[in-house]
Amino acid sequence: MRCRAVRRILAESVEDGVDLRLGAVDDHLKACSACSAFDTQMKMAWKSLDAYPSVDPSPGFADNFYARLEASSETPTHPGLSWRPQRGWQWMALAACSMMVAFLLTVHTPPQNQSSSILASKTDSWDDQFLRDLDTSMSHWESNHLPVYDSWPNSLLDPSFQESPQPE
Amino acid sequence: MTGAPKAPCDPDTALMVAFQQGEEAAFEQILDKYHKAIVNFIYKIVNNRAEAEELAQDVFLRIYRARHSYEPRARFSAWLYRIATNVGLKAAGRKRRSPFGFGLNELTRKEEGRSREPDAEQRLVESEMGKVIRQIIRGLPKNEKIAIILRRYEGLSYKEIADVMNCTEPAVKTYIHRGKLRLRDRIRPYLKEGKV
Repeated sequence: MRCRAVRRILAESVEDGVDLRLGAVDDHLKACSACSAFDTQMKMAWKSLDAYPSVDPSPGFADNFYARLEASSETPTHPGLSWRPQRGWQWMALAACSMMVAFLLTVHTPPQNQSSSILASKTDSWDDQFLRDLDTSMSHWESNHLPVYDSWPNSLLDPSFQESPQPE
Repeated sequence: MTGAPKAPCDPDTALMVAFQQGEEAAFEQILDKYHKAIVNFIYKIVNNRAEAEELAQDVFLRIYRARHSYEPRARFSAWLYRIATNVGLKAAGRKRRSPFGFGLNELTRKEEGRSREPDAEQRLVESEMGKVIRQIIRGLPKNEKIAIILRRYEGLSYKEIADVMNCTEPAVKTYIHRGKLRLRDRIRPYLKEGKV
């Protein structure tokens, strides 16, 4: 037998009431001093575990237990709240994430009505209105070929024309 | 007699079933029978007597509260030691993760336990050999430590240890074998010095 197999058997047979030793193991031990030393050390190590100190519970163990049981039963879990998980931090984390998302959405969404009134000047809004009127009133061909421009103010036809300032 | 429920052959399981059916005296018998074993078992995991006692009370509180969901599938002792293992390892892990090396509740426990000084008293009677063994077992890997303690001190079978540790019997055999080899390696220097 090989040393490894012998040591496996020796380690198992060290426990009380277990006798796995075969004749072949004894023969091996007679011939192998290392395995023989292993056997002795393993037996001593297993036996030495008896020295682990044992403790006696305090005399009031049962009384303390029943006191704790009574104290814990005074505040039973409400049946209506039984769906709530024990780990409250998960709910807190979820609430914090929700608040963060709501905050980011509020900050990054521009209010539509405010931006148009602030960014567009009064002149721009007049020009827009003029172009919209032009689109609705005539087609592209009409705008080029009909004498509609005759009725337009001079300031629009001649870029060099300067209107006289209006009295306030 | 065909409709009669089959009586559990394990006497502790029978006690737990009786308690489940409302017999409070059955729980008192369980508490009386196992409280010392559970305190000692947890003591070997957390290495503090006052803490072990409080955690053992936690174990029995869990059993008391879980009586309605108890199913006698395995031996009662396997179920009991499984709860005790979980409670003990959780407490030991909490203590290890704490930046101060102990849990917050431990401060209170130390104050409460100072009057009776169990650990100091215990240390006086503890032999040098006992200290060595305690340190060596404390230094074993978690699975090897639990398997060795359950086998050597609590006398559980490989099957019961497998039930407690939620693993297979061959896995338990491996844990115990490795644990024995590690114990032998760590005890060997003391054997040479003649302390053990």
